[in-house]
Amino acid sequence: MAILEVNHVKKIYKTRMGGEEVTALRDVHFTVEPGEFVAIMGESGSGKTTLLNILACLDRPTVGKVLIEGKDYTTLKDNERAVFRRENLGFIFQDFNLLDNFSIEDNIKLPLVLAGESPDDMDKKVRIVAEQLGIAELLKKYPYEVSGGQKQRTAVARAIISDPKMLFADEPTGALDSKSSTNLLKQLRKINENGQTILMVTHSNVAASYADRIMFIKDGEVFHQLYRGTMTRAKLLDKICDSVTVLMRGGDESES
Amino acid sequence: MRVNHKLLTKFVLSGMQKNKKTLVPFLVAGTFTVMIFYILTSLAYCPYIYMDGKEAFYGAQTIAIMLNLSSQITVVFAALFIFYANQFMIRGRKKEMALYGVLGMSKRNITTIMVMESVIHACVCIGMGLICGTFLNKLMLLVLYKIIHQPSVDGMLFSMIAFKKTLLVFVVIYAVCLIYNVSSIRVGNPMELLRSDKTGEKEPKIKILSFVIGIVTLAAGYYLALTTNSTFDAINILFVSILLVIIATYCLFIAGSIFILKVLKKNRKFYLKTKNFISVSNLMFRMKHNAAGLASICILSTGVMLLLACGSSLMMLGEKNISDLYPTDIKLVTEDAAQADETAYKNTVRDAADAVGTTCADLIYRKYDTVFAKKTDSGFSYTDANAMMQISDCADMYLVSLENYNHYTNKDIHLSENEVLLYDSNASVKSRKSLALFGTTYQIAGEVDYKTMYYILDASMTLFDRVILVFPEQSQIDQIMGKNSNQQRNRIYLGCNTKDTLTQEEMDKFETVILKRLPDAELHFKSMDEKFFYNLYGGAFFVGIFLAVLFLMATVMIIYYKQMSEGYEDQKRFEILAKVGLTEKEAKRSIKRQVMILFFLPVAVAMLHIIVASKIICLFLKMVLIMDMFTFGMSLLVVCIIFFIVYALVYKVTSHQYYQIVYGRMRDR
Repeated sequence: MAILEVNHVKKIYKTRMGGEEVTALRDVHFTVEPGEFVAIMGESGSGKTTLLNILACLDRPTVGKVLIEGKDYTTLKDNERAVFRRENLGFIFQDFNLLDNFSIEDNIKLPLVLAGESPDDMDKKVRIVAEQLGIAELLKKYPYEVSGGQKQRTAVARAIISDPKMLFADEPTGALDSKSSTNLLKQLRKINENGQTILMVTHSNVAASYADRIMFIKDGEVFHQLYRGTMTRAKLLDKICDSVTVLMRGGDESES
Repeated sequence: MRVNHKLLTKFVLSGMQKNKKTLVPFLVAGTFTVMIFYILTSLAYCPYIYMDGKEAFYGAQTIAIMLNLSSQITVVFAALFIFYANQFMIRGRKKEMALYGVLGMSKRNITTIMVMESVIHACVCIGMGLICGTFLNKLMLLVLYKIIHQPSVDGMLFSMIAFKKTLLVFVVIYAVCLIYNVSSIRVGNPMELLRSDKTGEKEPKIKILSFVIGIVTLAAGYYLALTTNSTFDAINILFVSILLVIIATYCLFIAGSIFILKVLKKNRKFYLKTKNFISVSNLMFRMKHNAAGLASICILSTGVMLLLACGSSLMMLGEKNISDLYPTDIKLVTEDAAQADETAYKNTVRDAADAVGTTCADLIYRKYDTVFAKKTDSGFSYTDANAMMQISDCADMYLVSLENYNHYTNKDIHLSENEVLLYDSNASVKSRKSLALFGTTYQIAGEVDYKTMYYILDASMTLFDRVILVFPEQSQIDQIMGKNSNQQRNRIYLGCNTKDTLTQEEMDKFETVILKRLPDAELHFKSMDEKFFYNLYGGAFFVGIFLAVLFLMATVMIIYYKQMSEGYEDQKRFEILAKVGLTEKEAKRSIKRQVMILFFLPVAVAMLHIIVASKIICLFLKMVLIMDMFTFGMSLLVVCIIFFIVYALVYKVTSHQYYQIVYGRMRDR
């Protein structure tokens, strides 16, 4: 069974005055299998952020359903949604979203605190993920004292510590230099190889090349998909670049 | 680069528009402060109260002095308060200024912008304050007249002196603010300023020194306040202990709060719970920034409550004080120089009453000697004229012979040679059986009938213990008197009630008749002094209310600013927490907890201060007037409750606003 099922999702924004309507997602339909590493690519304005917000329960679709392990959570009440989210989903954001008044350790612990785990369990889990992500030395520091890459790894640690069913990453390398980016993507890859399902939104070709499958979104629809299959990463990157070029050309044509 | 002034003006205006939410309260508070200062000052120099050494009515000078004093307090306060609000304002604007810098404005241009802004702020506040003040002036005068039982007067007032003073004081205050702003903007390069908002900060450290100072000063201040037992000590100690407690409040809010939070954080079982986890960390940083502000709120609240309690209890006790001072409508004290008898004195008073066409009822005559004695462990001794005396060790003593006493009370009491009757206002020595009086020991045979004898007590001496002694023989009194320098012999008290209240002319006439026969007599009319006391209490109450309103406004303002800035800081934080999966309910609870603590901590501490201070303040007030602990306690309680209700209302409004800031934006989605 698919772990994530996006079922003909449509999202229409109405302006406040109730006048114009803007269609952000026309008809998005796809599934993600357990253990998959999926990247969603698209230009800005293609609707990928809207899609991620819907997948992350931060927003509701106008039409359609989103199911995680067969459970439709778009219809839950606000509070239940928040609880569902923290129990089942993990998030990584472009701007890290760490709390600056918490130490790195407390930042990582946050989901466990919300879940009400015992202090000893927390410590154990924090140690494991911190080791895994190479930030064990930084636990006592504060976010402003560490580098961007370290911040993002902290965010990853926070996202995976509650052992989520899905890990959503929104432009995770957007604020990082290339070295930190590579490092982070390798970490994500490793996490994925350990069985974590990941869905990443990006417009970086390189970042996308770490995924198993790449979906291209354009004008609110899934426009094209690429599978890694047995390709090497370099080969996949070439393919992605080609697709992006095609995607852009297509855009030109449709506009003219 | 030269930037033309039109453009700068535009920047100034758009900047003000953008910072509306902080600017408007700043201007309102400024206006209000100017207004209060102007009203107080102009009333102090008002021809309807006291001007050029001329009182508009009896006792007006006292009110003028109080008004003057309170306007000076307002200056100090206005300076502190406007600086505070200004600091808050500038903190939010640093980024904007940095942006101007990045866009290529020189520091001179930015300075120009700041000067223009400050000039606008000052003009608005001072201008509006003066206008409102001028209009409200008259109303306030009428209120004051009402409180002090004066008939109202016509005519507008505009005081040039007050106008100039107000202008001077507030121009200086705003100028200093401007200098501070400009110098704080000049520091650092544009990029640094731009980032200044983003840089994280370290968890605050416990300031050990402040913490220790805080504990020590608090203990000392409280100890002094609690162990003071007499009015005299209270006079000396009150200001010291107030100062100590103020220092302690600041130190403990700054260092103690962090200490407690650190301890809580160390306790992992407590800390690692959703509600505590977020609150403790947030509070720690809150305290780092706001401890001084909260301490100020605490001290202001204490001040407001004490002021109101003092004012209202004085008002309530006014009646009682007057009847204590004046058991009868007319009171006459003189020395029995003529050695005349009771009937002669009584006739003098009757004649005077006849002269003004009224009758004397309840004519009372008392003869006594008074001596100023020094308290000893076992009784009283002579005061030493040469030595510096501890004033609290003195007693005002009234001596009456048994013969006279029996006559006044219509009793037939017998005392043997070494027995006396005693009344002592100092309750703690009432259980005495014997008394050492100026070298001789007497047995206490009973108590003096207070109701009969209290007329002779000099109400202006309430500071001292007051003792009435009835001796078996007049010769014993003479013997005591012979050896003491601090004495008044053969005092006569005469008092009576008149049928109607005398007019000023009648009083004058009465006095002339009396003084012709008794040139040494001190004559007091209750109705006249009543007015004076209403002026005193009323004036104090009026000024008290003014200052209380000012303090309360400042408190509300500080709280508003605090919540605003905290709200904006927390907005981002709670947004992140929501993304991580904090439910709105949990967020609400956590916010509520945090806001509650920040809100009610200062008031709770203020109430503690008040409870501790109530005794010493009450003793202090006894210096001014007769004061009883019960009335003072009750008015304190009432004031506390009222204050708490007002405060809770402000909390309700502000916390709602806070929640709107923090969660409003997320809701929109």
